[in-house]
Amino acid sequence: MKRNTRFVCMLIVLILIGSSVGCMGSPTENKDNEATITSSKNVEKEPPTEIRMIIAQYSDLAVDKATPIEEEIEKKLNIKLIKQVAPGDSLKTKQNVLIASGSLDILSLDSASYYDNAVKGNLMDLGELLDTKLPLHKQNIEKWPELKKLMQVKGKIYGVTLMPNLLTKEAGAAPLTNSRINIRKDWLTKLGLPVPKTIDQVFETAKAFYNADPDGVGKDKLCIISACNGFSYLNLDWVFGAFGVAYDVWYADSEGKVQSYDVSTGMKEAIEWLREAYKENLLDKDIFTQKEPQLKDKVVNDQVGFWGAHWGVQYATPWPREQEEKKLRAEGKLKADEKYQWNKDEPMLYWEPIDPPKGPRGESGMKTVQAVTIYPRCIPKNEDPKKIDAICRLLEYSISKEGGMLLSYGIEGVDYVMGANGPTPGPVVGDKDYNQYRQERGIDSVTSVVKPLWKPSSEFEWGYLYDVDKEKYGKYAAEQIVLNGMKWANPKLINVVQEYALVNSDTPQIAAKLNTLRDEYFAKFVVGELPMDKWDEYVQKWYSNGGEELIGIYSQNYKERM
Amino acid sequence: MRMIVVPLNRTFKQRRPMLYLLMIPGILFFIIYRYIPMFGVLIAFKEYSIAGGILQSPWVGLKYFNMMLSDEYFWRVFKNTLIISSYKLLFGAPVPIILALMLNEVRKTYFKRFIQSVSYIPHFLSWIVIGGIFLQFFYRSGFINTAILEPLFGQRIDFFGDSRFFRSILVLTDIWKTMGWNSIIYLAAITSINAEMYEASTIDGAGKFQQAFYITLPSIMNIVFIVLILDIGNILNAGFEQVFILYNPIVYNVGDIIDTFVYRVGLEQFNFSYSAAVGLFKGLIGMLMVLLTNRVAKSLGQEGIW
Repeated sequence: MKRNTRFVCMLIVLILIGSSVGCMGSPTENKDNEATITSSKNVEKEPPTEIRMIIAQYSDLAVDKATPIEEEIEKKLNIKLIKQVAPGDSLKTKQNVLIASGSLDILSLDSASYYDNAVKGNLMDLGELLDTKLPLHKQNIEKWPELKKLMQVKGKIYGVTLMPNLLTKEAGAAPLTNSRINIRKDWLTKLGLPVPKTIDQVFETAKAFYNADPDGVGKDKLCIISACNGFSYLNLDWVFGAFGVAYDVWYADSEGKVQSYDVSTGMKEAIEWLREAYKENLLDKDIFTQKEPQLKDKVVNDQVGFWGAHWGVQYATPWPREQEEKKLRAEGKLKADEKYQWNKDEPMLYWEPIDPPKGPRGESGMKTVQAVTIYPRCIPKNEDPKKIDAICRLLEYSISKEGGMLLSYGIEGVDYVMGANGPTPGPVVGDKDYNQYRQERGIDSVTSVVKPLWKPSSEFEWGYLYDVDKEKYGKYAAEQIVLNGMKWANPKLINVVQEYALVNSDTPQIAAKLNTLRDEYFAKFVVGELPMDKWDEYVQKWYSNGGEELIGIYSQNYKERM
Repeated sequence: MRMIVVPLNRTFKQRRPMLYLLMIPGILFFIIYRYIPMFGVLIAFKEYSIAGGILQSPWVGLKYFNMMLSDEYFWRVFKNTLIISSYKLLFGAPVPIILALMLNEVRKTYFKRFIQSVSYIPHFLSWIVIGGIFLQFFYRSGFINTAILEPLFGQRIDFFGDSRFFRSILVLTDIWKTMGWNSIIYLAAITSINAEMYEASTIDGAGKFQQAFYITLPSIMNIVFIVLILDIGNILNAGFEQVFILYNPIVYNVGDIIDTFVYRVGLEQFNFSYSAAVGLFKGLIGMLMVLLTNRVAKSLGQEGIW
């Protein structure tokens, strides 16, 4: 009996220790072990090298699943892509944590984060690798001196770009805006109103929409100008732009001093305009509390007349199309079991993107990004030669012709067939919705890390971003995305702190504090909880709580950087 | 009492070598996941950079602590954290006890199990899901406002956008999520009460309420104190996920807590040293609170946690 008890105890202890030790390793290590075990059966083949990356999840696209195209890449390069998914709006936060914990092997950064991470020493210097393992990328960098200049941080290159931004060639180095403003064009027609051109006209049009309630949803349900997550979601950029300012943007004045629009007179005017709109029931009363799903419901259910958004929300996950489908069903023009086929080359039925309205001084525009958004692919500090080798294989493959074709069109003979005028959808596609088919297969949407943002055009030459979007989203959307993006950009509204990474170790907590102060005051001004004569108090607090200090640091860094 | 303790001790001594072995996995767990990571606390005293790592980053002494303590925003979020946590403790702690007492009196087993299952479900849902549900129901254009408040009272209430309601929403949603799960420990304690005490009280003419007040509640009081002491140790954890999902700039003055503030400064802005300093500060306060409450509990005649 005693011996039995002892045996059972020993067994339990061994199992528990085993489990603990087993749990100690990271999932990656476990998989490595599994891979080793598998490979022992087949000594010839080396186990695939894992490459950990982070992917943004926007809307309901299932980016976490491995797609056939990814599997094809894995097979070809003997790698295993480990995708960690983060919601689009918290991507940067999760990415920062993963970089800090050494849990990322490859990442794609916007230019500001690229400079920031490079300066902080978080990224690998690719100088030597470009010579030895990334010849195609080196060729690219040498070919476009403008690109090389952009990629260099203190004389070193820390990333390669999959988009040697030919956009700039076409657009004459024009900056770009990601935000859009849309209006219900059928409401304008119903009420016989022209497209509003100025911010005052927008106010009057919104008032007319509210009074007429064109779709009869009930005035209490109308949210004529809508947005979500306050001002941080690009939704109301066009309002600020009309007053010559942008929310959360720093600019360099004529003397090279970096200043914030958040405490400018233009900002005060913009807040006053929003406050008035809120008071008149024209601005959605839920703007500070609702999230994207609630906004989407309102857009689709005819409660909204003006709606601003990132172009991705509008075209990649087309809410307006859902609205069209719903309306056509209600009108009996579409059967319940019938799938709505929208023509990607045609404008939307109910929504019209309009030019951002002009303000009292004739200004307009939206938050704008630099002419060349390089989105470099970088390797966080890594000392594993095998892994570095695998990442380089992936980076090289994704800009090779073979890789480009696979990523852009899929597998030849399955997803596409090569015709005289270039690739056309393969026989497997049949009657399926091509856009959905491509998503399921992972064509042109593999991951933001390996996906080239341009691809071979029909002439099999590297084409423009414009071509990519035209094919994926349709001609109409492509024009909206690229051409209007350039047209509506305002270089005055480029955030110099972000674009040139003017931060240092002291600035983050000061900036966070000032952002809290700003958001709280702005929200209270707009909903009428604070009178506008408290504006000066806000500005004074902003400067005394670190605003002055930030201006000093940013201005100093700006001078050094320029 | 002594009669019971002695044989138990003897048994324990006889089996001690093997029983000590059973502690190894637990000790390993604490060493690996609790003590070794404490080394990372160093970054609170350093200018941490990822490239340099913990050891290579330069020392900055108490820079981040000074920064934290001299920051008026920090004190505001500190106050909010304390208030929200205290409310949760004050209003939330009795609920699972009451639920356990009520469930203990339910005689129909299937009904009891049903209620238990229903009350446990929210515990398994993440705050993302619960936040989404409550947002959909309670926001200004949500169901509660449009279908109930407006038709009946002619006005809507912005539960998430009005400083007067925000803390109440936090406390209520927290109680809803945790009451079922937290009642398990009390239900377990109730089952260990000697049934003869209830039989004796029934003979003496005690009703159900009297039994609950004079037998059940005093018998589980030591467990209540242990739970309370542990909860007080967490007083500066007001529930990051919950607040993060539900708050917005209009209610920063009442809803912004230490964790959300640290999230904005530390993670969004890449400043891990500051976050570590705040985390260490929270840990110290939590430990002091546990020590204090434990002493108070003992002085009130309860067992405490050690």
